Amino acid sequence: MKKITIAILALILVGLLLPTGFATDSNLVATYGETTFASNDYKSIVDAFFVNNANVNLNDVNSKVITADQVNQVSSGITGKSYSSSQIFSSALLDLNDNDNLEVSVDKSKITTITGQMYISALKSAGITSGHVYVTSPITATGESALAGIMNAYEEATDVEIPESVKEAANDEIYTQAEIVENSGVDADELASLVDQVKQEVSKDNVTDHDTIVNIINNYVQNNNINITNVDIENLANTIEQVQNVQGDVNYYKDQVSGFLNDDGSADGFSLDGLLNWVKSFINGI
Amino acid sequence: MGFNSQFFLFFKYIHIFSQTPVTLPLADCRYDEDVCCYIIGSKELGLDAGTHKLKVSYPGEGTDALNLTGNVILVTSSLALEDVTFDYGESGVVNYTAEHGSVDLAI
Repeated sequence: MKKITIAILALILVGLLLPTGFATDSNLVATYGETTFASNDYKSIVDAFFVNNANVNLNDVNSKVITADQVNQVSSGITGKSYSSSQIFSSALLDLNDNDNLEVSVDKSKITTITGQMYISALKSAGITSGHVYVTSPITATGESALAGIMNAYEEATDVEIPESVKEAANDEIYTQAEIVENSGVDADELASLVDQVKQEVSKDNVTDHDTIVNIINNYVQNNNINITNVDIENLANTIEQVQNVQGDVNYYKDQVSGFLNDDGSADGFSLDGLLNWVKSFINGI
Repeated sequence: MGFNSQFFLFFKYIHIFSQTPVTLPLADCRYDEDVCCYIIGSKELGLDAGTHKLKVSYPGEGTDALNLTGNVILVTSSLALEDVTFDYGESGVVNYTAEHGSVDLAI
């Protein structure tokens, strides 16, 4: 009898702790470009992609809007370009419940320049190594502005701010690659692979010297017969050098976020299964 | 004189009255894969910069609501290549110019 009473009390306690019907899942965050968010038609196109591809209930999803001002704070310092509030279309959904590794699903029918591999590479540069990200847009868009939203979503989901220096380095990587793809016509996947390989080599040997990075890129370009200009190579070296130079901040961020993104790939956020397992073990232990 | 110039002159001064629909031909509109872009200067339209709700109707397709953000109207490709009527309910007489142009890069 005593055991049943304690079990009932435990269930009441759990009931008090359970989220209400209106609560969202803190592991699900959507970010909408402000142009998309301003139009019900555009937003519904994006939402349909999220629902169909991420298999989520939008009522569970936290949402944020990425403005042109936010994008311009990043882009103006990298490419010198600024954008109006009618140009910010790219939107993203972060699902931290799908957390075994870092995966980015890009709507290739809409996102024309930035590839999934480019997003993954830039996120890894920022120290982000798990979660499933979905990127789309209601109309064809380059996808450059999505990274600002994705990093914002990670901050929202983990409640840990990504250092500005790290955000700048990751965005620099995306914008630089976008410029090269658009100006030089290099295959986006080839370029993403180049950046990834060079970053790995540079990171392995902890190279920070600009000329050495240029040489590594040159070797890769020649060995793989990639047709890019010396200016492109210089720009790539600059962005990879920047990523290297913020490794201290990246490591600090990784320490901060490790409480939310466990090495075993499971998020520490609220989980009904976890709670029920806890109740089961609690009752068994009585 | 090319079609664009004729178009520009034809629509250089149009008097728009409250609730009076204005028909704008999209025959010369640039179509992308997913979007048709039609650019109207918001200042010339007499609208403040920002987002404005426009009621857009098109023959045989029913009506739809789109936003005018800044000076760009984006019309989805579901619109037929036919005349489109903008009815934005502004009062008074507005002189405005309408011209075609390429859409700003969507990012």
